[in-house]
Order: sequence, then structure tokens, then C-alpha cells
Amino acid sequence: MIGLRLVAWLIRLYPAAFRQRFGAEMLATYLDQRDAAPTLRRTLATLGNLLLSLPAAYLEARGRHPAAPPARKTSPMSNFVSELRQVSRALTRQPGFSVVAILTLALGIGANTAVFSVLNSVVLAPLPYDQPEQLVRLYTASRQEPGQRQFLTALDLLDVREQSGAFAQLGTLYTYRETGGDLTPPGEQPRRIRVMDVSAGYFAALRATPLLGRTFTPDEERPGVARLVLSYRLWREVANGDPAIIGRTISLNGREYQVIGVMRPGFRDVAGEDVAAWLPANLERGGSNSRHNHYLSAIARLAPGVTLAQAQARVNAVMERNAAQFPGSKDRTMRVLPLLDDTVGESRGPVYVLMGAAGLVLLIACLNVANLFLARSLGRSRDLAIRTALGAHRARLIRQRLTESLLVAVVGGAAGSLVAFWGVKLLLSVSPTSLARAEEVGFDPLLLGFALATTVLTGLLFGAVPAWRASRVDPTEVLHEGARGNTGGRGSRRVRDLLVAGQLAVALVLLIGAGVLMKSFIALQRVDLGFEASRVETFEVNLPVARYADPAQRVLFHQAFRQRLAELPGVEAVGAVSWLPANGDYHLWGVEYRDAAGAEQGLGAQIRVIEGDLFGTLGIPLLKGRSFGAVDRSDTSGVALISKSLAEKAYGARDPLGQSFRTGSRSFRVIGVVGDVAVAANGTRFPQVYLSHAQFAGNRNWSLSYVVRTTRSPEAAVGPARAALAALDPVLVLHRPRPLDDVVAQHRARERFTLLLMATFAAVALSLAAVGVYGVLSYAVTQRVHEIGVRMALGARPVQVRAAVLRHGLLIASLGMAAGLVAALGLSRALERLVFGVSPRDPLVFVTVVLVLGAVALAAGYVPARRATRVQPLEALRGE
Amino acid sequence: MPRTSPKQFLPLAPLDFQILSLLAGRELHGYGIVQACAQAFPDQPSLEIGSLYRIIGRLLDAGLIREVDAPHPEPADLRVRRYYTVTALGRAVGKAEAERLRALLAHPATLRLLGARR
Repeated sequence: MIGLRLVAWLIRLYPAAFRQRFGAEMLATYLDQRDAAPTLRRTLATLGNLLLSLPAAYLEARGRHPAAPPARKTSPMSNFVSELRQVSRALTRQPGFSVVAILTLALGIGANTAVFSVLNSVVLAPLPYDQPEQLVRLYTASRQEPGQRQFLTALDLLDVREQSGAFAQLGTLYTYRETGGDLTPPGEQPRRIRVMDVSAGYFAALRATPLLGRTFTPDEERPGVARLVLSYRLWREVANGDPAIIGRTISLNGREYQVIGVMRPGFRDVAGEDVAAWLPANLERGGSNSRHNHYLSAIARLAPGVTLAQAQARVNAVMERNAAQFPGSKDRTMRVLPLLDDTVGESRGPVYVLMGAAGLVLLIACLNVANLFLARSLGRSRDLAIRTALGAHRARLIRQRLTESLLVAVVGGAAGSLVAFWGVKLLLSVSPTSLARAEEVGFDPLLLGFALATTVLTGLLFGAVPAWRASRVDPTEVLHEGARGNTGGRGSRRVRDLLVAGQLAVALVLLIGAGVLMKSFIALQRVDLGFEASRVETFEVNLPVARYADPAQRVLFHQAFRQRLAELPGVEAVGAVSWLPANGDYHLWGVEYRDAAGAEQGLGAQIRVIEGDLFGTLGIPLLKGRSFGAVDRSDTSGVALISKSLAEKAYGARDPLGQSFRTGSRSFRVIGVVGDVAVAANGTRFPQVYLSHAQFAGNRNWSLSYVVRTTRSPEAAVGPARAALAALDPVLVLHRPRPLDDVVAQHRARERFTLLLMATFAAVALSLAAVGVYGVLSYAVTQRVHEIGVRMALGARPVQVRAAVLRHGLLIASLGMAAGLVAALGLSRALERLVFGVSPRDPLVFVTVVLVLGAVALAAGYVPARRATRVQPLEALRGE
Repeated sequence: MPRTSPKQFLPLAPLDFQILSLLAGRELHGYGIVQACAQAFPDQPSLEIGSLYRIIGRLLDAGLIREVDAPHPEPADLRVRRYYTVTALGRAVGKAEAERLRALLAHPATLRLLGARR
């Protein structure tokens, strides 16, 4: 079945006129042939022939007279055509050789094109906005750590917008708030969508105009403006694409919002594809917008003629003035970074390394094919010698060899595009989310150019060696040698040995890369996160403030819901937290505490608001004191638990219990110390403060992520939990249910993806190198049959013969691996930023890889070595 | 400018000649040509569809063969099978090529070559 599909696909590549004329018939004939002999060989022969006839079909389609075979003119073009024809006929006559060469190249070119298409879309292609090079992203950083990318205050942004003159437009986004909103379309169940609060300048800076209606104006940048802009997709879903939606209201979080605009289908929010609606940001001075409330992200478009450096200088000037005026802002600077760098920054490393790895696979493929061609041309060196002796031009001989290799490269490139097409699909299916902007990966003319350039380069690369050999044929030498049927002198054997050694060297580099990444990934899997993720289901519950305005009401709801969850069958423990562990930094509020001398000190710390038995559910140890209980109410004094690292940093040898600190402009007393928990999937720890939702619900409307430990599979808890939620309030949404293991794994997807691809490349490289060793040794054995025969006739034992062949193999292997080791050491720096908990020069990996590759080379050499011992001395000598 | 005299087509490519000569005897569809070729020239590699239909296209364009109705009822499947036969021009070209080859084979130089091999 796959054979038929491949045949059909190849036929589709033929010129349109030809295909329409004969396509159906070709398929029928193929099927008739296959019915008669349903073998793999049959299909391969058809496929090979279809591939090789392809260029000729195009040449004929272009240059055809109304009535056929082209006249024999001697213009350079028709010369080339006739040469192509000769060459393609020669190649068709050796389908085995051609198919192996083409498949090898298809693999190499395909892998490169696939990885390049990801690289192109993720790293190189501009953002989907007009003149993206003018777009920047703004961050706050402290003077001590200028590399920080922290949130901004609305007041700093307003000052920069009004005073700096650096930007044509500046827009803010409220990315800090991860929770979405519950949207209730008329007559439908509520659904949770991602909502983004943006300022008036946001759409203008991106030069995004609405499809319908309008976007926000500066006078809407204040609290309580119940207006909303919909994404195209949401508009299609909830209003069925009805333009009359403008001016109507829609319920969001239990409050009515007027729809004022619908964005165009291609518009993508800077924060992600999934943003479904936009609300006006509140940028009013005062209220929640203080000089200390860092919660905004911002993008801007550089003013005409202003460079990045100039913009940074103007922003600095504004910030200096603020520092002088408001002592609290003294420590802060604002960074201006190109938006593109910011968006793709982290994906860049792995994609470049993978590109390099794919390039190495292509290099091996080229070496392999060069070797094939060389072997083939050595077989024809007599023919070449005769032609040279008869006065054939050296240039013409070289050109013919190059035509041949280019033809194979072009066909290999066509097959490689197929590999790339599937490869990209595979790449994306393996890792749709871990690559930034993966959704934009697609076809691009640049890609075609890349594949074409790779193909031509490949053709020249593997064609160069045989062509060069061909040009150096010395007729007298070859014709003398010929008597013994020896094809290829000592020099050419050396070239082939070197080519195989080169393959082994490249394979070694790739294997070491894969080995280091594997070890790093294992280290990552084994990292201690400080909590137990297995058998825990998580989901988010947010209470819309319109219906749950009273904090006490929210406390009661969460307590009641938690109670119901705990009573479900198969549930062992239940807790809830404002931000899941190992899920990234969040609520970096820091703490102010007094040191042993009584002086006020500050320390970075992340805040988590919890409900129920979070520590028991996640297996986080309580090291000292007690956890929250019924005695900790909103009317009792504020209490907190702190993580071990915070206790050590803030209080050192003192007993943390009973100490007081401030955070979120309130004071808390430490009642307990718990174990440290990772804030990132790579195990990074950060001091943490745990506050009780019962006491702290008034600070803001916390959206809580529930963690439910089950005795069975965690997914089984979702249905009953949803029913329990509906029993309390039928219009609430149980948002994003997923096992905690998946939450963690999602943050390791990039590493897994890189490893998977690298391992695949290494495996391909290893097999190609093994084929290379096998090929060159079998060829050597065939060449030396005579010599071996003589030796055996003189009494050499099979063991000695075998050893001689294996020695040859080992020599190549050690040469290649020595070169590979040097290269791997040199390239190891490229991996430095990708690995975790392992050195890119890990000795264990190096030694293992050398042993594995050595073993594979030996195994590949063993088959020809054994064949050598079966040489019958008499027959070998009779061949004389 | 269409060629009309058989001589203008010479020499024919070997496979073109083979197919032309096979079609001179009877009407065949694509697979029929493949089978006939395999039977007549068992030492040759089998004829594959990529090459086959390029040749058929070439011969049709040159007016050396033409399509004919199926000479006998088709099996009841959906496979498209077109039958081809030689045209008068095609027959003449085939004959001219055969004569050319015969002359070539009868030449003393060729005979020497054949003799040397045996």
C-alpha cells in the first residue's frame, strides 16, 4: 500500500501535461506489474526508475518540438542535454547503486531541510507584524543585575511614553496575570479564555487594525471600562461571525462587557496565539499604579530614525530623572530589547545545535556517496584512461562526472523534500509547544532555495573527489595495471580509506553530542524537585469577582469545594495553591525582615497562597512548627510558613518560629518551616513564603490550582471533581485539568525534543558510517583476492587473513575516531548552554562512544574479513 | 516542423525501436508492452513505467504510434488501460531502422567484432 502511495506521489512530481496524459495509465500498469510479482524489489525498481526519469521528463517537456526526438545540434545546451541523457541512462542501468546513493542523500538533505524549516520559522523569519525590526520589548532590571527581565510599573511606562520621545507607540500588556476569564456567551455554558489587558498603544505599535469596530483609546485606560475586543477565532465561535456583535454585550466573569472590535484572522498577540480577547488596561496614576507595583509588560515601536541605542539612551534619561525625584526608583533601570530576540531567545541554542547536527549528517551522506561514486569510477578507470589516451578533454571528463553527481543530488534532493515534508510534521508532532512560535512553521520560498542550494552544494561536494580522480588518471599507469584486473591504485584506495575515516569522525562527534544530551536529560529526570508529582491531578478554579466580590465568600467556597473533593472515592489528599510548583517564577514579591542586629533587610522570595493540605498532598516535609489550621482566620494576626532556604538566609542560626517579616504590605509571623520546592523543572530553588488563603483572600481574587492526590490514575479524578464543582456552582469552569507529572514534563519538552533529534541523527550517522566501513573493506577484499589466494596457498591460516583485513579496518577506525575526538572536544562548547548537570566533555560519554563506535566498526569489518578467509586459493590464482 | 520522411527519424533509440517493433505485431496496452518486452528480451532489465511512458509519449508525439480501442473486453476494474498500435509512418520508420541496423550488422567490421567474441 505504501508502495502504491509512493508511486502515485512520484508520478505527481512529473510535468503537468505528462501527468495528465499518462498518470492514471502509469498507475494501472504499475498495479498490473505488481499483481504479477508483488515483491519489494518490483516496487523499488519502479520507484528508482520514476525518480531517475523525472529530470528527463522535464527536459523533454520543455524542449520538445511538436514532433519528437530532439535534433542533434551542438549548442552547449543541447550538449548538456545529451550529456544528461547519457548520464541518466548510465544511472538507470545500475539501479542498486543509484537507489542507495539517492536514499542516502535524501536522508541527509531531508533532515537538513526539515531542521532548517524549523530554524527558519522559529528563529530567522520575522515576527508576524509590519516592520518587525522596529519593535522592542521593555523590561525593568536592577542596577546590580542589569540582565534581569522584570515587570514594569505603569508610572515608569507612562513617563517614558510621554517624555522620552524614543517610541512612536508604546503598548502595555498584563502578562503577569496568568488567569483568564470565564466567558459566558448567551445561552451557552461558560468557558475559560485567555484575556489580555492592553493599553491603547498596543495595537497601534504592532500596526494591527481591527477587522470590525475599533480598538481602545487612551481615555479608556482607566479602571472599570467594561469594553472588549474579540479575536477573530473567538468571534467566529461565540457570535458565528456575525458583524452585528459590535455594540452588543457579552458576559465575562459575571460582568457585562461591550464588544467594540474584532481583530483580523492573522493577528497574533505577543503573549501567544491563545489570547482570545483584550480588555483596556488601567494606567491611571494612583490606586494600584504606584511606583512600587511592578506588574506590566510592554512593547513599543521605535520612533522614525531612532536606533535601539538612542532609544535606550532616551529611556535612561527619563529613568535617571525619576531616580532623582522618587528615591524608591533609584535602583531601577529600564531595558530596551529587540522583540525578536526576546521572543525566540531561548529556542535559538537548541535549534542551532540541531542545525549543526543535521549538517554533519549531510556531510556523512556526502562522504558516503562520494565513496560510492569513487568506487564506481575506479571500476571505469580503464575506460577513462582509454578516452584520455584518445584525446578526450580533461575538462569534459570532469564535467561529465559532475553532471552525474549533480543529477543524483537533484533526484536525492527531490526525495529529500519528501523526507523534509514528513520530517517537519514529525518534528512538530513531537514538540508542538516547546519551540517558540512552532505554529508558524511552514512552507517558505526561502526553504526551497535552501534545499536547492544544499542539493547543488552536495552534488559538487561528493562529485568533486571522483571528478578530481578522473582528471588525474594516467593512461599508461592504468593500462599497465589493467592486466591484473586491479581497479584503482594505491592512491585511490587511500582516498577511500580517508573518506570512511571522515565518516567515522563525524559519526563520533554526533554520537558524543547525543551521549552528552542523553546524560544531561537523565540528570534532569532524576533531579529532586522537593515534591511528589506522581498520582496528582491538577486543575484551576477561578471565582469571577462579579459574583464572588466578598473575600470571605471566596474563602468559604474554596473550603467547601476542597471538602467535597476530599470525600470523593480514591482521593487521598487535597490542597490548592496560587501557582503550581516547578512551573516557573511567579509572585516575586520579596520579604522585608530584621537581621540579628535588628536592622531592616530585604530578600528575594516568591509568594504562594495556599488552601487545604498542600504540603501533605505534594509530600513537602514540614520541618518545624505547624501548618495552617482553623485558628488562622481573617480576623486573627497574619501567619506564614517559609521554606528552609528562606529560613536559613533570613534568620541563620536563630529560630525562625515566631519571627516577623513583611510582604505584600502586611506583616506575618512565621509559624512553620517546610522543605524547599523547585520553582522550575530543572530543580532551581527559590526562597518561598506560604500564606493562608483564608487570611489573605482579601489581597486579590486568587485563582487557585488544586492538587488532588489519588490512589488510582490521576485523570480518573477529573470527572467526579467537575461534578462536585457543578454541584456547588453550575457556571464555574474546571480549567485545564492535567496530571502534575505533565506540568513538569511540559517544561522539559525542549530538552526531550533536542535529545530525540540528536539521537536520531547519531543513529543515522552510525549506520552510514558502518555501511562505509563495510563497503570499503569488502571492496578491499575483492581487490586483494589474488594476494589473499597466494598467501593462503603459501600456508597462511584463516585467522591471519582475517586479522589482516580487520587491521585495515581498525586503522581506518582509529584514524577517524582520533580526528573525531579532536573535533568533538572543539565543538563541545556549543553544547555548554544546553546541558544540565553534566559537562559537555564528560569522560564517561567519550569513552563509551569510542568503545561503541569501535565495536560497530569492527562488526562492520568482520563480514568482509570472514569472506576473505573463504577465498579458494586455486580459484583466486586461476583468475589470473 | 513535423518530420514526414522515415529517414529523418533515424537512428532510433534502442528502446524506442523495440517498442515500435513490438507494436507493429499487435495492439498492446502499457503492461502488455512490459510483458512482451520481458518475453522477447529476457536478458534486459525490466521496462519501468517512468521510462515506458516517456517513450510512449515521444512516439505518440512523433506520430509513430496511435491509440486504438481495446481489441477485447476489459477486466471489470477501474484501471485505465489504453491500447497502442503503430501508424503507417511508424511502420515505415521501424522498417527503415531495421534496415539500417541490418546494413550495420552486415558490415565486415561488425562481423569481425562478432567473430572475435565467439
